[in-house]
Amino acid sequence: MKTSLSFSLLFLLLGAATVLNIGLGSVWIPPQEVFQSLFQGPLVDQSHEYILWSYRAPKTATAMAVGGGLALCGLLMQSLFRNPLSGPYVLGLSSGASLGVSLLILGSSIGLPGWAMVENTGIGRVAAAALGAMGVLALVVATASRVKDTMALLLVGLMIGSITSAVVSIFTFLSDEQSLKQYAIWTMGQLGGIQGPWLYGLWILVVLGVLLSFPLAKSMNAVLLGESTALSLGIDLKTYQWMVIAITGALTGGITALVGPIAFVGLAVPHLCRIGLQTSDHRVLIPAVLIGGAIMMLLCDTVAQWPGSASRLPINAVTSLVGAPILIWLIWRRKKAFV
Amino acid sequence: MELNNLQIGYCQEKGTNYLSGPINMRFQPGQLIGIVGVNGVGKSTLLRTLSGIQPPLAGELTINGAQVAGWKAKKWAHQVALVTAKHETPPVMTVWEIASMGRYPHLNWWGTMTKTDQEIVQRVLEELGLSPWANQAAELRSDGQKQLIHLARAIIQETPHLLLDEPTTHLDVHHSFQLWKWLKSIAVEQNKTIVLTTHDIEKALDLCDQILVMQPEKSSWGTPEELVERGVFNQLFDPNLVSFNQQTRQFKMP
Repeated sequence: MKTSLSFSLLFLLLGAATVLNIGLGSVWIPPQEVFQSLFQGPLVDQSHEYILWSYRAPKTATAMAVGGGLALCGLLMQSLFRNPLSGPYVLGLSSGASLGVSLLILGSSIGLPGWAMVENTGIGRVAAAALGAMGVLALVVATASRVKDTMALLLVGLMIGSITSAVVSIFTFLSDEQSLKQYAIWTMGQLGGIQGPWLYGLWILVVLGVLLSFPLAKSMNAVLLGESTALSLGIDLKTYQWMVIAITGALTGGITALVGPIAFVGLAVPHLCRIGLQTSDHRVLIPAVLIGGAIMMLLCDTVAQWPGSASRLPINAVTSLVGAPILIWLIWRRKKAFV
Repeated sequence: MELNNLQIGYCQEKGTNYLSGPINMRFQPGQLIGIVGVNGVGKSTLLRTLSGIQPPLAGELTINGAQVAGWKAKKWAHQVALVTAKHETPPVMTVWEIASMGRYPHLNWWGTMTKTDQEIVQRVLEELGLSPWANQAAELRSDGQKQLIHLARAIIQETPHLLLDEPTTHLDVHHSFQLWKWLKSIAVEQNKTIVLTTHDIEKALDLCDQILVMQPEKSSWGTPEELVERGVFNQLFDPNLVSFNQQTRQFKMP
């Protein structure tokens, strides 16, 4: 009863955030017009109709998939490492994806041998980011199997972030102006501009990740009691671990390649859902973080495109400004918040 | 469950680290079995090996006459339930939620509980006196009650073998005695084999049907009476620090 009430509230919030996100921007499109266009047919005002379907709706759909996908990655990683501070950004996965993309975008301009052969295509970018993210994740998993200390793991994530930043800095120093600008825009993150097959591809990726995650919910619950107990409850830990690595690597890589590195959504949303719903049951938390992540991303994007203003703030800066204080607050109330 | 020349320990980079000597023993249903020994001799490692979490280094382990090598986690979970010494009680989870995880090996991929599953959880919680707190956060219960919650989870798993690593740690005398009594009655009434590690040797001598005394060179196995007669406990600790009285079956300072 309590859970269904919480989900009703989450869906209401998602609806409100969606309408707000579609409506707000340099041109205000009122909610009734959004509903009319969605359910009754084209608007009389053709410019609104054009803005709505060519720009706003794809961007909103991108924000929902990105937010839900990253929040799911955060939940999976927090379960895998049994570490409340895990998340795709904190543990360096986004940095790994950035390294992959920077290699792709900047590689040819700095004259890496044979790089001219590699086209800077969207598919190439997704593959490079996914490989980068999975590479870092493999490194972090290897570290976690040797070092059980939470702080040590986070430090490793931080160091990986520093190393990738250093490598990227060297690339940017050596590369030409055009590539540099292309890379700089990518790092700021942008939800607009993902259209047609790319948007479908993003949604297919996230939906696949979600479908593969649901069967892991039982294992994620059992792991809360410790690995030995989970094993004694019949959980196939190796399959679970590899599934989490594959899903988070592909999702973080794919999402980061398309919209740039997005900070803190993956870390903060699972905690907020645990606190809000007062549960550790991953059968409830998986759908909750998907909706919660979408809401957070839509709200951050709404803040980034403040009404009446034509210019937009970089989405990565906004998620950091919203997410980092949430993290600080979580650490303050650590004992109760971390599950 | 039968152990033939079973050797336990860890494979490390520097080589194989054997803990204790080869172990030979046979567990019977309906018996309470104690494992005692000094710190670091491998009591917990033996339980991990007997529950399939860790493979043995040598020797043979059979359950119901079948070799366990190659068994999947799920098959183990239908035969052996384990309560580790360091069990975790996540915040927000209720007593019911933790206890009902014991049904996991019997449930479908989504963990759907049937009415029968719920009745089993309810019954065990009532038997262990935990039902008044069923819907409360387990984290808020005392250490003793947390121990009981995890014991309930293991009983709810409904396996013929129940392995408990130092179950009386954190318990005061009253709760410790109560737990020993419960374990003895569960073993007899439900015809289970209950194997527990303990430092409370005197209590093990009083209540266990069989005891395994683990020592670095050679482990000893038998009924409490046999082991006392053989003088196994006289040599277990440094005689300058601890002496064992065979008449009273108690340890004291010399």
